[in-house]
Amino acid sequence: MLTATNLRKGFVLERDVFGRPRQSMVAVDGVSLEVRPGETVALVGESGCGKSTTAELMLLLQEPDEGVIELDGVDLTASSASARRRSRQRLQVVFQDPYSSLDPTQTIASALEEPMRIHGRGTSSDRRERVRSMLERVGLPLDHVGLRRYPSEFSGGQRQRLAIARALVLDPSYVVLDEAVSALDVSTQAQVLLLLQELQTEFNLGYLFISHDLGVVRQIAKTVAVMYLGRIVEVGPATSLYERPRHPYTIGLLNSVPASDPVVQRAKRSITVIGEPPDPAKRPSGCAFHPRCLYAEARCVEEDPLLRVVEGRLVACHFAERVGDVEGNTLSEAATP
Amino acid sequence: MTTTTTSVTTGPRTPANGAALSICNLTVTLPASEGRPAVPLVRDVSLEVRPGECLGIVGESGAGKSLTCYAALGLVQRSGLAVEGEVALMGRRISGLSQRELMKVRGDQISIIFQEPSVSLDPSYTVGNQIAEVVRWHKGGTRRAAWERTIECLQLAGVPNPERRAKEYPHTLSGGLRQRAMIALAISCEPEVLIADEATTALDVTIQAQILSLLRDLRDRLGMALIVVTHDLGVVADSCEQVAVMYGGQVVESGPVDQIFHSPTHPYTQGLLDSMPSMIGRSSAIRHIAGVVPPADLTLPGCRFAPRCTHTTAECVAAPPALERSGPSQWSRCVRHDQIELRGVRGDH
Repeated sequence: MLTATNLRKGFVLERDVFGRPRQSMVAVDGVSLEVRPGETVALVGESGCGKSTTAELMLLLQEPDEGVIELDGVDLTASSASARRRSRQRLQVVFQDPYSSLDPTQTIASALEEPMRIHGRGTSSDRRERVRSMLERVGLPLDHVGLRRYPSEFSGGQRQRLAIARALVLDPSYVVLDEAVSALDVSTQAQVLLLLQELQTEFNLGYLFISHDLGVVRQIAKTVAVMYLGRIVEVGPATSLYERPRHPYTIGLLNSVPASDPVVQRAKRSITVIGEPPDPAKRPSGCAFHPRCLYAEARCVEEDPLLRVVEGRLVACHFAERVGDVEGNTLSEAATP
Repeated sequence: MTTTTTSVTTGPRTPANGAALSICNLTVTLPASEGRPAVPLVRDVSLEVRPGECLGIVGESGAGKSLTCYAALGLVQRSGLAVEGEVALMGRRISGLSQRELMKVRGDQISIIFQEPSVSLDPSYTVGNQIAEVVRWHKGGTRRAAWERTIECLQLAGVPNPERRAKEYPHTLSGGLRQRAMIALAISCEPEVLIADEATTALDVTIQAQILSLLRDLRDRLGMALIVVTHDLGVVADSCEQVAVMYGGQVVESGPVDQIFHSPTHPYTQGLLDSMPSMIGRSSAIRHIAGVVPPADLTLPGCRFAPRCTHTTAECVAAPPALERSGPSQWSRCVRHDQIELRGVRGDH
């Protein structure tokens, strides 16, 4: 199991002439997550909410200020550099943009063999064989000519398959998918999601699936964590969260995903999230979501809500019990014409 | 049902009166060179959009949807592409105009918003200066009047603090605000037609919903015709009354949005509907279209979707299908449209 407990990460935005911090922000504030083998945890939120920073912390690409990351009970944050290096083989990542995540000057063979070269796996021919079988597995079989081609010769969907193959050659236990399908066409998106689902079952992979779109992760996620301004505001089993969202922000995010039936969509499009996310350096008082919240009351401006159990889920909202019940606000109600 | 069933989006015919923009038999070809035969990129596309109406052009990357719009605006001739067909704006033929004359039309009567506002806006000028420049270029008048119009447009586009924002440079704005600034620029001369080319694709879903609602609102307020180019049928479901589905440079299905979504008559439309994220969420298994779009230079004797289609028969690969009427004001480029059973998305959210 890959767990993160109480992660916190801040950045200094500006320093004065003496190098002392003048302005700083907290990108990730007390985030705890648990990814189990064979399961997907979706981390959802708008740009700048800290979801990618959380991913970087969990991949050990950044050092958390506070908090613990454990891989099968071993505290990675306290491990030696060589132990971390070994652990990294089990934690892989697929980034959003397949155009910038593959080195344009490196052939496909070289790019996909690199992780194995770095970790000293097998002989050169073993590695070549492994790359070939993995490419076949991700639906992009390449012969020796194809392996010598460069990323620019492949389409976006194909490149994302290459990136997935590269993440899997080391036989990892956990894969972070950082907006891995967001840059793709809808039809390609569905293809890649299907592939990810198959690979998960086959290799018992644990996914941390990061997305700004609750619609995309709906099928694949077992647990959904909704993040706003560095904190998790609602987390729980996907099925109940989609059916009865309890945080006003989750409701807004769900309503922002267009329905496929135009009649339903026209009915629900008015209820979404207003405004833009605030500057993380200027966190609003009380509940950070209150300036954009349709239900905000005086209490929300003053008192910061903590995550608490509501209907078997954790929700950070003072009025969680009643927000989901307001008429016309849940998807199921909006769907009835 | 909507009240737009009387308006037919496409069909092989001459430009109808009353259309804000009509594109008739538009073909864009990459001319032959050095032993390579000519490559047709857009094949015989006819579309029209009426004032106050919103038309969605939907399809995968490489379907030719953006190219159709750029060609209609005379934006591709310089890159060496051959364009044929008729384009009329408010009944006036613009397809034969010189670049000089087209410059007077573009930005004034017809505007376009692109996907990436950070690329479309000049980083070295303030937002306000860029809008005011367009206003003065097209409408003349004093600097002060142009500036006032600029503030007004930013306000219309929902930019908070327009006086202050107008004096800022594009890089200081968030993605959503930049797109609003782009919209302010596009509507500054009150165009008859506004084209949004994947204008919300790069944005968060929350901001996308806001921008779409802004576009609808502006369309209603200014009475312009709106063309939304997108790969996301959700965006079409949200904003459009009419839709044209493009594949391989052709319109494969078109008609009123409710009809297309509830009872599609082309297997490709069905595949796109199945691929929508909200549909993926609902079905027990992810349905998708297998394979990829065939390259434009690949000559296929029959239907261009046949290699990926699950309904293909010998008939499909024998000859290229024509766009046929498949329902009340609905058109399909599938020879088997009346034989195959396709599911719609009625009631799905």
